[in-house]
Amino acid sequence: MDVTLTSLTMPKLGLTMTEGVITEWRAAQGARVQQGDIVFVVETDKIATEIEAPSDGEIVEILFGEGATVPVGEAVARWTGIGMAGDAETADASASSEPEPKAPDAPADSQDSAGKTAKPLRKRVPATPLARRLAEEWGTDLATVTGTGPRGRIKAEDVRRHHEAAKPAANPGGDAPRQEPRVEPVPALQQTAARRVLEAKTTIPHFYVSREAEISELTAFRRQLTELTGQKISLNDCIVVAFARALNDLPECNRVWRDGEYVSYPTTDIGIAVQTERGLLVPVVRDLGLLPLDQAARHIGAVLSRARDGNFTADDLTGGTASVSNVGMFGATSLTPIVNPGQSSILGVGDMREVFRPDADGNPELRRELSFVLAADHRVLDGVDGARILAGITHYLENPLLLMATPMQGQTHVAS
Amino acid sequence: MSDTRYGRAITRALNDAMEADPSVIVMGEDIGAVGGPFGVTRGLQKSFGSERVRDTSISEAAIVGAAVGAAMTGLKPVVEIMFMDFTTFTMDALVNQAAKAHFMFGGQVSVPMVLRTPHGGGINAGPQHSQCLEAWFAHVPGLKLVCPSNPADAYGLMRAAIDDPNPVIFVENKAMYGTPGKLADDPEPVEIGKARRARAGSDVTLVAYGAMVAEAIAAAEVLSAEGVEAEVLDLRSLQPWDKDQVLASLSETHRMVIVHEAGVEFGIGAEIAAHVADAGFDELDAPVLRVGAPHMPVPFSRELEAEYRPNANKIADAVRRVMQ
Repeated sequence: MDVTLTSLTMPKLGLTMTEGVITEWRAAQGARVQQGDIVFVVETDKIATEIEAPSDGEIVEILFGEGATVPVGEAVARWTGIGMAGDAETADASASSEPEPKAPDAPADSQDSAGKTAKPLRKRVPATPLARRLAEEWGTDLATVTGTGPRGRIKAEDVRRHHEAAKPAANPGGDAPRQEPRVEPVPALQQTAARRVLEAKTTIPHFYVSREAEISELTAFRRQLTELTGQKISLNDCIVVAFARALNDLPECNRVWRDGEYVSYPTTDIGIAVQTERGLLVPVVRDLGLLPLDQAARHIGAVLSRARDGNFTADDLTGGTASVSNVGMFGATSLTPIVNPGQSSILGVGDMREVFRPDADGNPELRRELSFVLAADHRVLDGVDGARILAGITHYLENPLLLMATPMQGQTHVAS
Repeated sequence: MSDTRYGRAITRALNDAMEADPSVIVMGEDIGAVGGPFGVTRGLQKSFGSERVRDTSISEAAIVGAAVGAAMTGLKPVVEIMFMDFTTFTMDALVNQAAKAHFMFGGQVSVPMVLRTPHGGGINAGPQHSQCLEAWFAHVPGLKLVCPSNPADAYGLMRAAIDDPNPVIFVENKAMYGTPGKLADDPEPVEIGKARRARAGSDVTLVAYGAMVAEAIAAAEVLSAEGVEAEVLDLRSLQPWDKDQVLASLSETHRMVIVHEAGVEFGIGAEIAAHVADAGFDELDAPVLRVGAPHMPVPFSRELEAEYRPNANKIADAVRRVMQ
């Protein structure tokens, strides 16, 4: 009996698969299997996969036993069924002398009596033109679709059903219709802001220094100040003034980079990031470093209300060496900001947190801490500068009475 | 709007055209005093005289030869060929003269004639009096071909055919002369080359013309009860035919069945199916089927003829096949 043998091969089950381990033979040597029966199981580094018989046939010889590692495309068994895709030996499959059982829709040339020039076998999938078009559009592999038309022909409806069934994985919302994203023009102010932050983030060499400040004393101080004077001083006012004082104490840090030159400011002008109806604005409050806290707070309040009301001028938004951006009121613990273009640093402020820290004796002590992240332009400042600025801010906030004293230009309160 | 019948609508179209244009004449066998074998020209001779409504000899070749000559020299003849089967005698005058003159004489002459003739079975008239030979004419460049399915279209297409500067074959259906319908008080011509949506549907397009439009609609009603909504397109014109509307409908339904009383083999449906398989390939979700007569002479016997002719049942069966 001259029986045609072809190979069952190690299939390529993924783009990166080069070999697979045969973990189990479900069909024994000599067994007859029907199309769709599981013949063997392959394990890759990702998953175990059951390999089906591509047609009816008899397993004549098993070439690799269980546990063998086999390269993709290598024959794992010789059998009488049709070759698997990519099986080079299929091409010289010769004729069978007896009628072979085969799948009813197997191509006629699988048993080409001439044998030697038979084409590699590729089962044609019957599908309507519309079904093919839809499958192409949706990237559906027709071989995975079950046809319900005459003789298993795949119709558009079959592709549609298959496509719908495949959807939930991508759309866990189930049958909710997919919402298209909305595209809309950006208002001029936001366009400008976008251009400036992009420029800042891509042209300023940022570096970041962070530190916490303990503000229990400051909190008590503010309460007392309000009780005694009736003036309400916000935590942010204190931070802005502390920043101004710190810069006042460190004149070499109170400068910016402009077209390859250092520009030093005689005054300490601080920008404050504020959310307005028109978007994020950073109005600058002038000469804060030499004002006592209550006076500085009135200046800050005036500038902020002009910004919120839209009564600001271009002058309100320019200059300054540094800014403060406080997201603490929104519950964020810290903020790593982008330096405002034209300035050399910006202080990101988070929410106050109550934490226990060990005191001098190692006992837990309740502290109220603010998180600061100073983002700075490394062309102007370095890490030591940044740490000094943060130390200065912290020093003023932890010793709030200093904020009420009228400072002197260049006066240093920070031992460094 | 008034009640009329298919045959009477054609009579009125002839009458209105002759009133509107003194160059319109009517010729044919027994069309004068008798009014034609189906009564379509009844009364015209009385109204317009025997010069314009001429009884001819029993020679189809002579009638159409005379009509082609008259058309080339300034008249607008409308000739009646009693049965479409007899157009065999007219072929040289139609195919070699009427269809070619405009082209061969560099556009200096046209042949504004109409040949009216009834096709179709249903009255047990036998193999030589029942044939649907329209595909022959559709194959000849230079001839236009229309086939109305109802009285209003019969009127409108006849007026358009008479107005047309080219030879137009106007195919009537002898089983439909008594078919009732409405006609506007001041009816308009129907543009040649435009199909009509006779029924809206979303699942399959039935393309039909002539008597088969009513059968297609009847089939659609049966199918509707089965949950299949068929769109029925009445072609009205066969040459040229409304490719755009047929393809537009296909792109909605993705399935098509073409129906005509004429034989399926090498018929009008073959042309439509071939065009759809090309221009509409990617829209098809099922094979295009044709429903028509088998490849055999039309039988005499009432029972056999009924079996021979397409009908709503056969159309519905074909639709069920494409819906599989």
